[in-house]
Amino acid sequence: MLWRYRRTTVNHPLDRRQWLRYVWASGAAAGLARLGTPDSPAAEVGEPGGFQSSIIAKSKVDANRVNARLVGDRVIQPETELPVLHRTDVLVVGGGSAGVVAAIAARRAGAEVTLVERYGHFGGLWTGGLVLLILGHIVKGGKQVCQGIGEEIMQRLEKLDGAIVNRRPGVNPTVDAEAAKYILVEMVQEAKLKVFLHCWGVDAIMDGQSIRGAVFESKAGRQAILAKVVVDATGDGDLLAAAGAEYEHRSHNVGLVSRIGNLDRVDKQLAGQSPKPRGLGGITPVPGVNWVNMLGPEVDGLDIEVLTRMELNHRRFIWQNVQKVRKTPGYEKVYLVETAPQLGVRITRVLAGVKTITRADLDACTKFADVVGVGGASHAEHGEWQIPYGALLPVKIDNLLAAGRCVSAEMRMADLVRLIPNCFVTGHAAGVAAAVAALDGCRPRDVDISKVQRILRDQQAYLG
Amino acid sequence: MNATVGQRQPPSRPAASTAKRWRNLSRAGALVAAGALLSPWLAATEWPQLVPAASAWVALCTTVALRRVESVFLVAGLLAATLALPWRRWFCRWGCPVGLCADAASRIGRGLGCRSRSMPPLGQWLAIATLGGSVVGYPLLLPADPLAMLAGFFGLLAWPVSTGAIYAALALPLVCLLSVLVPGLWCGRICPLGAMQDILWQLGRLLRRLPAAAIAVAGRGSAGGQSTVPPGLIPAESIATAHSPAATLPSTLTDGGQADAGQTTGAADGWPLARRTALGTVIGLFCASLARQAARAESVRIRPPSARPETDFLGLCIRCGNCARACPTKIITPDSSPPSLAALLAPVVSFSAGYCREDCRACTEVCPTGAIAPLPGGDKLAAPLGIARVDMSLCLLGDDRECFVCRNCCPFQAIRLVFCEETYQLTPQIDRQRCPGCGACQLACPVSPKKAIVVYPLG
Repeated sequence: MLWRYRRTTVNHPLDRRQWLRYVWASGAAAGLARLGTPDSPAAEVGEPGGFQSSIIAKSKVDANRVNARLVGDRVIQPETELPVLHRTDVLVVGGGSAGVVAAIAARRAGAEVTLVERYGHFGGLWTGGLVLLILGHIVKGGKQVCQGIGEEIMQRLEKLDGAIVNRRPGVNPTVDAEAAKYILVEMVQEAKLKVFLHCWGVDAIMDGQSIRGAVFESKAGRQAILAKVVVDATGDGDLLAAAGAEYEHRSHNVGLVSRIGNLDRVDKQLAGQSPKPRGLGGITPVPGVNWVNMLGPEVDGLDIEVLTRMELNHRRFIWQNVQKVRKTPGYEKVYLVETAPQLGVRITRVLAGVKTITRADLDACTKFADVVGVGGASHAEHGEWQIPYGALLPVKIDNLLAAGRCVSAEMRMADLVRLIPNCFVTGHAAGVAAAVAALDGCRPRDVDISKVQRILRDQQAYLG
Repeated sequence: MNATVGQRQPPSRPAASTAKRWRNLSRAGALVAAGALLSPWLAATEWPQLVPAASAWVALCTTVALRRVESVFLVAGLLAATLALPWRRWFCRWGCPVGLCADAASRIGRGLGCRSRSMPPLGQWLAIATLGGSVVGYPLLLPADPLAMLAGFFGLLAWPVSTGAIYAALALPLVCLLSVLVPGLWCGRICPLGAMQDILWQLGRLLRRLPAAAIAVAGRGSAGGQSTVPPGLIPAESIATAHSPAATLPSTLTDGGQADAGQTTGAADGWPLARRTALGTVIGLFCASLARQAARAESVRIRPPSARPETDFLGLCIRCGNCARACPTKIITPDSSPPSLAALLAPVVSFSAGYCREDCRACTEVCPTGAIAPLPGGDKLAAPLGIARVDMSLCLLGDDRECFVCRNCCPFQAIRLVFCEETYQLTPQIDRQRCPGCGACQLACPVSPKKAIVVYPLG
C-alpha cells in the first residue's frame, strides 16, 4: 500500500523531510488516507491473500517459454515470437533529458508517442546521475541558446520552491534532482504520453534497412513495441547499434556524482585555519547540501566489467573522501547524503550521421540549411553553433533518429553535445522531426525540413 | 620608392626650385605608396616589409648582423645603399617620406622664428655604431630608422589600437616637433639613414678617385681604401656642398665633417670620417656586446612565432610594427611595459583576444629584418611561441569540476587528461612535442581573471 502514497506525493512539491513527516502522519491513519490515484489499477488485482499482499496467480509456471539452450558449451538463443505490447507513431527509447523532450515535442506536434525508460524516473543522467549543474545553455556574451521545451522545464522549475538556484541571465543554474524528476512527470502526464518505465530497450525490430519498433526487456519478459519512427535517446546509442547503424565506439571519463550535506554547519572559524579539503563540490537548491562531481578515469563505458569496477571503486573513494573532509577541523558535521543512482558515463557510442557536428563548423560559425537547433558552450568560452538535422540521421538505417549525446559529432564536440541543454535541443529536434515523418508517412531523411523548422519555432525553439 | 631611382638630381643651380618641386612630389608619392603598403586594407601579404627594408641603413645592418640577405625585400635597401655611392643622399631628396614631413615641419619652425643650431653629427655616430654592433649580431639602435618610425606610425591604422602602438606611433610626431623647434636638425644631424648615405657617398667618392687597380682592394675594406686617398679633399667638397641648392636638405651634415676636419691636426688631418668610422665601429662593437650581455635576461615575454632567440630578436627588431599589423587575430602588440629598456616596444604576444592560428604565418612574412625568421613550411611546431602550463590550483579539474575545454580546443591535440588512481585527480598534461604555444587553450580557459592554463616563453 505504501507505494500508493508515494505516487500521490508526486503531485506535490515536497522535500524529503516533509515527505517523511507526511508518511509518518498519514501512516497512523493509513486506512483513512485514501488519496485519489485515478489511473491506479492496483485495487482490482487479485484477491485478499494475507496480511500485506494479495495473490495475483496461484502456483504459476510460465509454460511455453523458449529458453536459451546449452548446445555443447555454447549458449543458443532460439527463434521465438514476442508479444506486441503496443503500437505507436513515435517510439522514444530512453527517458533522459533528450528522450523526455523528444517525446513531449513529438506529442505536441500531433503524433501518438510512446516513451520507454529503463529506470523508474525521468531525466536520466541529469536526475539519476545527479548532473545538477546545467552547463551548456549559454554562449559567449551570456546569450541563452537553449529555448523551447528545455527552457520550459527551467521555467517550471523556477516556479517551484527550492528547485533551482543561480537562475539568472548569463549564469549556469543548478537544479534539484527530485524537483526535476517531479517536473518531468508533470510534463509527461500533461502531454498524455504512453509511458513504460523499468523497460530496457534491447533490440531493434528490423524490416530490411528500416527499423519498425523495438524489443524491451523487463520484469514482464521480452516484449515488442511497433512504431513508425523510433528515436534513440538511450545516450549509449543502444538502439542505433542494434539496428545496425554505423557508429563510433569511444572511451571517456566515467565518474560518479555524490551529494554531501551539513555544509551550512561548517565551523567557519575552525575551517579557515586549515586548507580547504578537496571534494566539497558546488551548491544545490537544498540549503547546506552540495553536489560533488567526479571526473574519473577514461574507460569504455560499454564494458560491464569496467562499469562494475567503476561503481565499486568510485563509491569507496567517495566514502573515504567524505571521511577525509570530516576529519578536517570545522567540517566534522559534513556527511554523505547519497551517491548517484546512475554511473556518470559520458560518451560511448556516437552515431556516424549523414552530417557530423565539427569543431571547424563551430569556429567558422557555419550556418546550415537544415538547422534544427543551436548548441551552447560549456563555460561560455565560445559562440553558438548550429546543429544540422543530418547529425541526427543514420547514414543507412531508416525510420531511426538519434537524440542526446549519441548524435553525430566529432570527438572534441562530443563534450558539448552531451551537455544537458544541448540534449534538450537535439531531443526537441528529433521529436518534432519524428512526428512530422510519422504523420506525413515519409522516412525521416525525406522529411520536409522547413516544416520541421516551422514547428520547432512554433514550439519556441531557437534556430539561430 | 625605387621608381625614383632613375631621376637624377639636376646639378645646375637655376633649375633648383623646379627640382625641389619634383623632389617633393616624388617624396609625397613615396609617402602615399608607403601608406598603401602599410595600411591594413590595401597591403598584399608580404609587401609591408618593403617600407623599412628599403632603408639602406636597415638593409646593411641586418645583412651584416645575419651574415646573409634574409629577405628579398632587403635587396631594395641594398640597392638604395649602392645608389647612395654616386648620388649623394639621393633617398633623402627623392624618396624619404619622413624627410618630407621633417622639411615641412622645419619650414613651419623657420616661419615661427626658430633657428638651426650647431650640433655634432649624431647620426653618423648612430649609423656607424649600429653597423659596428651588427658585427656581433646586435644592431644597437636600428629602431631610430626613419622608415621604421613611419611604419610604427601607421600602426595606428590597425585596429584595435594598443598603448604600445600609440607609443610606437609617437616617434614620427616627435621628429616633426624636433624639426619645428630646431629646423633641419633631424635630417642633418640625427637621422641615421641620412648619415649612412653620407658615409656611403664619401666612400663612393673615395672609390671614384682611386686608381682602377685599387678599387678591388678598397671595395672590401673602407678603412684600408681611405688611407690611400690624397688628403684635403673631403673638407673642400664639404664646403662646396654645404651651400648646395637643397637648402632644406641636411647639407649641414657636412659642416660637421668640416668642423671636425678643422679641429684635427697632424697625421689625422682630413680623415675625420675614417677615424670616426673606425672609432664608431669599435664603440658600436663594445656597446653592442655590453647591451647584448645586459639584455641576455631570461625571456619573460611571448614573442611571435619563429622569432629569433630573445637577445638576437631584441637586437634585430626595428619596431616597425609590421608583424602587429599583419596579425589577423591581433594578438601581437608593441610592448608598452617591457621588462627591460632593450625590449621597449618590441612585439609581444598576448592571448587575451585571440590565439596564434595554426594555419597562419602572416607575421613571419612581413618582418623586414629577420627578427622573425621566415617560416616557409608554416610548421608552427618547428617555431614555437612558448609552451602551455597548467596551474592546478586554478584549474577547474583540480576542484573536480566538469571542464574539458582546453583539451577540446587545442588545434594540435597536445593536451591529454591523465587520471591518477590514488588521488582520483584528473590533470591536463601538455605534450611538449606537440605544443607550439599557440594560446588557443589560454584563450578558451574558462577560469578568470587569471587563466589556469597559460603559455610561457621557452627558455
